[in-house]
Amino acid sequence: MKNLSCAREGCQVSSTDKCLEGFEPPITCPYLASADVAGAEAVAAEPSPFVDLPGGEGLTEVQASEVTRQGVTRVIVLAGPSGGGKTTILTSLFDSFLEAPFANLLFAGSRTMVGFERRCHDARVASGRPYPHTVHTNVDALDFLHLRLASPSAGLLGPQNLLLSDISGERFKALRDSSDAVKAMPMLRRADHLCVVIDGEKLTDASERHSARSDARTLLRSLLESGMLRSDCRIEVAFSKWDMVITNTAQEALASFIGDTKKALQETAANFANPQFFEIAARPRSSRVPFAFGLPTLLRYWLQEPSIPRLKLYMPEVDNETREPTRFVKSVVENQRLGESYDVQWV
Amino acid sequence: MSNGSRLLLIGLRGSGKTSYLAALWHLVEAGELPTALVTSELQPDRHYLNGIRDNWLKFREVGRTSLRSQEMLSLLLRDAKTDATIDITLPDLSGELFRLQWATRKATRQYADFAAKASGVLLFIHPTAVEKSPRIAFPMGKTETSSKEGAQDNDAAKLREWSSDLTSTQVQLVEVLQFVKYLRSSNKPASIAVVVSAWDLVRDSILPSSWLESHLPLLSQFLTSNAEVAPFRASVPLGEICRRTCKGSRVKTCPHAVSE
Repeated sequence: MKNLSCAREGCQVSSTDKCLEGFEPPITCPYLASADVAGAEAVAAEPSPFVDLPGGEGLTEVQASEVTRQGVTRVIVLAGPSGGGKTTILTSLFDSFLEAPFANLLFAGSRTMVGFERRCHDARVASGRPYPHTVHTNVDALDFLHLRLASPSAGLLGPQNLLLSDISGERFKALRDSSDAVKAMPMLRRADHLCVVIDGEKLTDASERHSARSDARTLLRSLLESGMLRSDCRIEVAFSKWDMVITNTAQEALASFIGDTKKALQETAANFANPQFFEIAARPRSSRVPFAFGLPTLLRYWLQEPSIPRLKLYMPEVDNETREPTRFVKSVVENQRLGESYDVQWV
Repeated sequence: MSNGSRLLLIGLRGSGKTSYLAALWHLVEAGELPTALVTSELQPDRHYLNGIRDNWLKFREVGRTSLRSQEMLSLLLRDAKTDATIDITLPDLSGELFRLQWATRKATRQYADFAAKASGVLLFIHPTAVEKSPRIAFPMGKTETSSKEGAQDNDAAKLREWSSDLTSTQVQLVEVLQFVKYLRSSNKPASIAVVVSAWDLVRDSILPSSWLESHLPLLSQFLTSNAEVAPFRASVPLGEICRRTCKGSRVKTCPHAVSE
């Protein structure tokens, strides 16, 4: 008899030869097919009765770049220190789509359903926790989660892919301190958006706010100076846990500190782009702020037209009888970032 | 048979797939009511079809066949008008196969073959078997605490690790449909019809599509937004044996579900 060991929790097949899922013989159980079978030689003789399906976990950089080749894709890199709320942005986005269309967008699919479910678990009743929580992202993780989103009024554009990074705060700490670490992250080159997340809760604490600000500045500077970002990559700064900010008692001091922080970050990014600021509370702890506060605005911003110069082509007017064009193509070159448009027209 | 329709029945355990087949078989075979479909001469699983039909007529649980007693079931029908053949295949009577696809990321080779060749999919949902996995609602009155305090309140003894069994019905069904898409790769997308079985158990007088929107919002969005690749047909309410509301009378048995 082959020595079977099953990956299924609670399955005793190795000692009893009885499959927990009721498969007879046990070797036909798909759980066993995914485990290492000790008697692999005997099994290899006949083809496996199973076909592998996509794993559904977070995507590696290589898998993520496959997605970018298969349709319009926005790559978002979420950067910031650990515990700042990067992963909670991801889980709250997914949880929102589980309940209803979100930000006037429809869920059209995801290659990382398991990755989302795993990350959402600690904020669900099934986790047995009295308070929602987000699991700490593995220090070495460099994952991308995938969402395919569609507009309910289909229009001309089909569904778009969104790839959201789930990279640990520790990894960003290393980036902050060394430019070599930045170069070890090739997907940065593909990023359409760099979103620096600043922990709003730390801003409310007089002893932590200064280091939170300087950490964000240093991180932003090292990413910009690495030369890894595309020139048209957009920069956002998201103040997370905004419910903590608005419920704080020292509103005046806090507002002026946040104002200074924005100025400081604008200066840091001055040679690159003008950062956009967002106030979010992905999973607020105050009833004064709704769930996923600020995320619709951020999500819509991520899916906007890119700021690269675009060439718009108009179809020539055609004479109905001769089918000959009566006017030449009119083209407009727009540079959204500079706010300029060059109208090129031949009549 | 290659120029007819090949329908694949999909649904989690207890979603009404077997009852549907039993009712359909009874209608076409007994000839008590005029039907758009007629039975084909060669019925591969006649014995088994009669078995589930008999159970259905006696108001017994039709399916819940002991696991893996029968691997798959086919019903061959013919359109009375056009003479086109319709092959309805239920790849797994228990519905366990679909849960296992989500949990183990494997499909049987036989299923992969059906999914690749099917011309249409009937997705079954039973209104009382929709599992949800809700978020923790932050307790009122406990608001405005620091996230650190909250973290400490989590009692380690009661915590449960994530496992695939805790996944909501709609997430599993979306993934199963994404698997169908994946297995078809180059083939053109299959059209999907959603069947809300035991419609008589839904008390609200709403359209099946609105019911889907409010009870399985993610699945509903997925079907709507993929309409260009997989036309989302309006759900077909399928009457089932309803002991609870109708004391054993058979209601709204719909023979047209398959003829669409």
